[in-house]
Amino acid sequence: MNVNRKIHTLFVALIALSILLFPGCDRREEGSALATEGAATLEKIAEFYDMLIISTEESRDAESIFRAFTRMPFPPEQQATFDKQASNLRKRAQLARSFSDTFKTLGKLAEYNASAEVKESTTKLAKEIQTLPKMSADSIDPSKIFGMIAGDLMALKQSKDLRRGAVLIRDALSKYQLLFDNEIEVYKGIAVDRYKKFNNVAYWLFHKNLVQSSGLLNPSVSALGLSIDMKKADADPDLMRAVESIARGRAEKMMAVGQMAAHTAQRDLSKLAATVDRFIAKRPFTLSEGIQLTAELQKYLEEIESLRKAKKEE
Amino acid sequence: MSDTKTFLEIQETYFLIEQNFNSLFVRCESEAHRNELRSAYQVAFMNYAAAKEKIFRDNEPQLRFLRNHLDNTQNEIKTMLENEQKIGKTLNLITSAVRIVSSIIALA
Repeated sequence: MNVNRKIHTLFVALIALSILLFPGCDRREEGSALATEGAATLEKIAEFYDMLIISTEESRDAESIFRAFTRMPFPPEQQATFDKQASNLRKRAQLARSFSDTFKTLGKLAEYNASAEVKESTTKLAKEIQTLPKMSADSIDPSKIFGMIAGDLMALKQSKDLRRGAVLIRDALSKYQLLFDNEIEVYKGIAVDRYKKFNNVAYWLFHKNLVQSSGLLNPSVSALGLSIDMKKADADPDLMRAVESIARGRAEKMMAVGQMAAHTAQRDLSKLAATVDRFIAKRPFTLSEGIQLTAELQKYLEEIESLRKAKKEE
Repeated sequence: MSDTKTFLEIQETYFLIEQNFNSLFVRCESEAHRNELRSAYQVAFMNYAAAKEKIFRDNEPQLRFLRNHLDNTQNEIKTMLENEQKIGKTLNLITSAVRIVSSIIALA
């Protein structure tokens, strides 16, 4: 075999090797990016639930103040309705964080064989899925939604399982989306509820002249280098009505932001689902496809070689 | 959250009382009136919480009858609130609406 022929064979072998190996490296990078995006999105969802927990607690506190103003008892069983809601939300935040951890594990799978970590993370997820309470009686049962996915995820052991892992996570994600969609009205309702409770408290604070206008007036006045005679300001009924209206407007804005956050979280989940879909759809060459491509390449190079020879002979 | 007609009716009753509580409270002419309003609010509050945990079969004849009855009562309350009619009468109607909701909850 002459030198040219040897170089030619080596060239074909190198190309064949890169066809077979490079897509694998590429997949691992993409898998890593997908894991990062997934983990970040689910962490944001968990933070959304954290916000709902705070809103629920604020609603309970506002209800407590409202009842004090109207001399209405707030017995433990009525307070417990807020605590139960907060507890259900806390479990959802926990689930979102476990799901985030599962995405991180998928990232580890993309880097190296991480069977022990995959098992640990998915066992945790499976346990949380099974014990997740329904938000309300007619919500979809979360354990039914997620089914045996967690068990399937546990079977993932090596980086070659990356695509299979993504398929399983996609399945879990679409069911998670179903749960979220089913409960979105409850989440939006929490923002409405807080708004109503804040409004009730604001009503009594103004009604009983317990409010100082300084909090709202000072920022705009101090920007002009002025100061307010607070005694006169608080005694001015027109001014206090304007302050009350601004306060109510702010509460309304907070409600709108809370409702919007639910839609943003819903959109983030859809975006993540689309990313996972793209990852699944874009698959690497299989061994037989690689061999076929190499053969075609070799044939093409041989044709070029024969054309060169023919030209030389002319 | 339930999107059943029955649940939405119960929710509306609670929101109606909550939203108008303060204006009704200041219109109350006696402590007996205020107690009636407080009691109606508390029962409505618990009914609403309980309704979130129930599944209602909207088409059951008894439920349909009670829902229609509740809907009519709510409309009457709204009219009375708009016209600022006698507080005693308005409170009686609110108590009736809350009782209908309690019956619905007991049925589910």
